[in-house]
Amino acid sequence: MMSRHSLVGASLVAVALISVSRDASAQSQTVTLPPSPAAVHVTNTVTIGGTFSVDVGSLVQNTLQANPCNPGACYDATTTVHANRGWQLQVTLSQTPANFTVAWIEKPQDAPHPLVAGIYQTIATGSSATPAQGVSAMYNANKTNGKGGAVPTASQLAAVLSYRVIASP
Amino acid sequence: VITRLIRPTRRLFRVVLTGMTLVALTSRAQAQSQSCDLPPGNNKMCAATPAVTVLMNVVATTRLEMVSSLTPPNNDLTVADFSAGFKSIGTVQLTAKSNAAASISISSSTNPSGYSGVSWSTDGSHFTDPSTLFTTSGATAGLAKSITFRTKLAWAADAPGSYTQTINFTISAP
Repeated sequence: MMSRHSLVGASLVAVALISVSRDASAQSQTVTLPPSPAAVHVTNTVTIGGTFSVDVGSLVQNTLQANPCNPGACYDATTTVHANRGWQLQVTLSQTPANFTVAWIEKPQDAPHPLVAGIYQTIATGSSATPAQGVSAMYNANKTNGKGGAVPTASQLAAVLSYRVIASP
Repeated sequence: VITRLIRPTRRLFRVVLTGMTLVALTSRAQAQSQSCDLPPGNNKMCAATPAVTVLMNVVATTRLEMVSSLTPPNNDLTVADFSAGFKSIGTVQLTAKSNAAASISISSSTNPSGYSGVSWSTDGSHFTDPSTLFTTSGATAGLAKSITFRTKLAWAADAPGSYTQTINFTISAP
């Protein structure tokens, strides 16, 4: 069992340690002249994580009518990627459209990649940081089979496209 | 515990300083020559008021206190921070007490590769990174200045990682 003296002593030590901790976090220092010059220092440690952003630009219907834009219509989209390290630009559908389907067209093969809501498709990559990297993409949209199916307007398509940028593997 | 250790040392220093001062003053006083002549048979006191000149060499002394309240980014930078090109990280409070003119300046160590470093302002709005923060034109009982800091951010320059940088505050006599 601790005596009263031990308790008081332990308390004082605790108070002293807390005071020292606070002083350390505040980085308080004093220096006096002479001799001249004299200096005090602050040391900072900055931790930066991977940071990414995409600005969604225009989406316009183009005039291509051959494969892969037939059937349906094709659309040209522009986006701008910002990243402080290597990156991947991905796209998905925010929801499943009721009246049309969408595919991203991979260039230069013109290979269609159907988009599914919630599943991201990588459409561009960058191996290093970039302050503003423009990315162009083409999409094909076609009406669904059955009643109500329709080729979307550019604004209808833009409303369901959803982008994100992640770190490159 | 620390205070207990320091207090006796302070007392000892004060006693030694007082003793040295008294010895110095006594030496000066003894160097002054005084004379008082009494005619023979006069048993009255001979009074003389000694003129004592005390010479003190007061050196220029300045004390600078620095309290840092900087909070550097800790994996919490946002797209908005990068878009803005900076993130505010707080202030450093400097207080100078001086009996003479003094100049307070700042410098930072070289920016680590992959990090743009810090920027600072003496008025909180113009981040021009002045090397001289302020001067005491003469004696001051306490001239306080708040220096505001930002960490600079650029997409292509500030890569993920941890970076350590030292900021120096230097006080010098003109």
